[in-house]
Amino acid sequence: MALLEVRGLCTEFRTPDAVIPANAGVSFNLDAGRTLGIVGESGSGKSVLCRALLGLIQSPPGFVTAGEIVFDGRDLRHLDETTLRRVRGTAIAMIFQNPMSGLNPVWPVGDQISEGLRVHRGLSPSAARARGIAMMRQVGIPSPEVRYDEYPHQWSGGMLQRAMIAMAMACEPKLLLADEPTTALDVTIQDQILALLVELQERTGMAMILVSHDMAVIAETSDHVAVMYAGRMVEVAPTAAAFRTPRHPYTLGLLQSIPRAAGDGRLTPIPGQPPNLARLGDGCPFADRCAVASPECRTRPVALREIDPGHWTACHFPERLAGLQA
Amino acid sequence: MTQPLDGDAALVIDDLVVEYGAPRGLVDLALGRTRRRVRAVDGVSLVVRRNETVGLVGESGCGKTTLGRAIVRIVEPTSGAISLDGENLLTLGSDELRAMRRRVQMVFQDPYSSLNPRMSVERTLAEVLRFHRIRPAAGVGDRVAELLSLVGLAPELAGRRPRALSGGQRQRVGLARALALEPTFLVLDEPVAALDVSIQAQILNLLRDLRDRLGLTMLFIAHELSVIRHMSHRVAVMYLGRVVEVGTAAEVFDHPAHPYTQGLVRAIPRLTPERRHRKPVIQGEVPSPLNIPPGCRFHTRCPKAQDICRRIAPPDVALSPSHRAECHFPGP
Repeated sequence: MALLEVRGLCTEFRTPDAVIPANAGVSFNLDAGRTLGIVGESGSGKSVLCRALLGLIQSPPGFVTAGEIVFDGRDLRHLDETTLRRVRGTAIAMIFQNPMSGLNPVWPVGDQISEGLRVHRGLSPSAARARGIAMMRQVGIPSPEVRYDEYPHQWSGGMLQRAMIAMAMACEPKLLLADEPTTALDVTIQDQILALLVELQERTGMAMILVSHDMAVIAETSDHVAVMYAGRMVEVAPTAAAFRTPRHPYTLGLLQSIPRAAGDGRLTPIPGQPPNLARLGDGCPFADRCAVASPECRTRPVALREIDPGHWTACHFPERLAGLQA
Repeated sequence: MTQPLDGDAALVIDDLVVEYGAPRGLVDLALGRTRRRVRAVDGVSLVVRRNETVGLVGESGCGKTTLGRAIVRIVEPTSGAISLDGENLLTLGSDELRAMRRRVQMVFQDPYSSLNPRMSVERTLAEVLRFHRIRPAAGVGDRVAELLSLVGLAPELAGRRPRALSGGQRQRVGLARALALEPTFLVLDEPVAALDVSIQAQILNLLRDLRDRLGLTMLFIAHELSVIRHMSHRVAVMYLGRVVEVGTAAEVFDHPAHPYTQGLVRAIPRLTPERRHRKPVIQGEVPSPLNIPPGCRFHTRCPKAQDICRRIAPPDVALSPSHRAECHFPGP
């Protein structure tokens, strides 16, 4: 059985002028020990999805209106706040793009790393400190005994992200949600953090959801890929299949937009811009930018369907992509 | 990308140094300490030839943005020289500076913060044209329309304010404003870093079209190596205030000679769907520019570092007529 099963999750934001469906019926499974990479551009709903999974949508203006989030056999949507908080502190952890957003600036970093151990595991202050220092060493923070008592402003961005990872890993979660964990970091530091995440996952066997706008980061770290567009998953597939034989025109468009090493010639951008979510019609939300769309794409609703084993696409005409691939 | 390596020098930067005063904390003030100096750019020499695009790449704090800003004199260099078409940009009086700014324009990463939120696109462009008296008043409207079409913006967008534009559209406005003065040289500082990849591709295509059509010379600053490679004829790699390697795009990316460039190139995630099982190439973090290591400034993170690297600053080694690296042990 999957560790996490999400079925038909809908999240909307209500403003005085409009209702914005930020997640419109998102479904996927994640097995223990596996990594799902979620890729998409700004506004595609990937961060909202992470927050919705953890019950962290601020309400109002946000509302989770439908769907199930079955984690380890329990629907998280039906847990009371106390139980949910315990799940968040122990079984599911999350790291963010900006580590400062998850750290208290006036509290020593080490105490924040070991807080979960005191609150959720009931460790004594000295035991929590020892365990916290061990965690800091595990994530590659140099001289942890000294740095335990330092404050966030004394640390670099890369070190703070390591601290966030140590904090997330302290209670040995079964699932780690990493929302753009390396986006704010330089490429050599990104390289170090990705290597650390992969290593920790192999050592602990946790499952991971890695959200990124960078297709290459996903390619190197994930077993499965989910491509999001306009609040829905438009393609879900094993990583190799998604990159070698994408079956949704948006995925193909993303791949063709990226400058390749042999840098001559023009890129093939996706024309136009993402749609306004408040004004989506019934048809495929990508139809206006799609190179292979038919008139009926604009009106006929489209849902994810499995067209190869494990390979899902929300496209009426995936066979038309054959002609576009190099 | 191929490009003649001869050709006249358009921009010549010679031994440029830019220092900032580091902020003083309460303790420094209490003890009456003087302001410490940060050398953001520490002796950079670089040539950009006419019609050439030179990519300037490096991580945060390496000095690439400061170098770009020194060229348009948003920051004042401490020493060294910058000349454009043989004219020293650092000794210009205010009138000459204004004339120079017509020829050298800068495009910023975030057009949202560099555009006046209360001005429509049309007014933003018209103001530039009027201020610099590029066109007689009667011709301003036509020129605005021309500029919009040049950067691929629909005429209907002319009345909009920045808030009502998408990121890609705003960057097109930023470009149109820079091009309004008919510059010959553009300094582009992370022009696509804030954009989603599908929109980024639209802007990169536009930049390459404009470069060819208008014969622009460019210094293209970015941290993303694939973007740099796509845009640049030659590439300069900066680390802690110095250019540590320079060469054609193929030389720098396919045969990097400096261990830092080698690490940088290997650290980029690849689009090949294979799970990574490699150790990070470059360990540790960039040292503080307040505390630049002696000898080779990269030695604290360099896998090849020897004793000499900790003591003596490396020589500038020529690997080909177009390829140089500052390293005691350059090469594969």
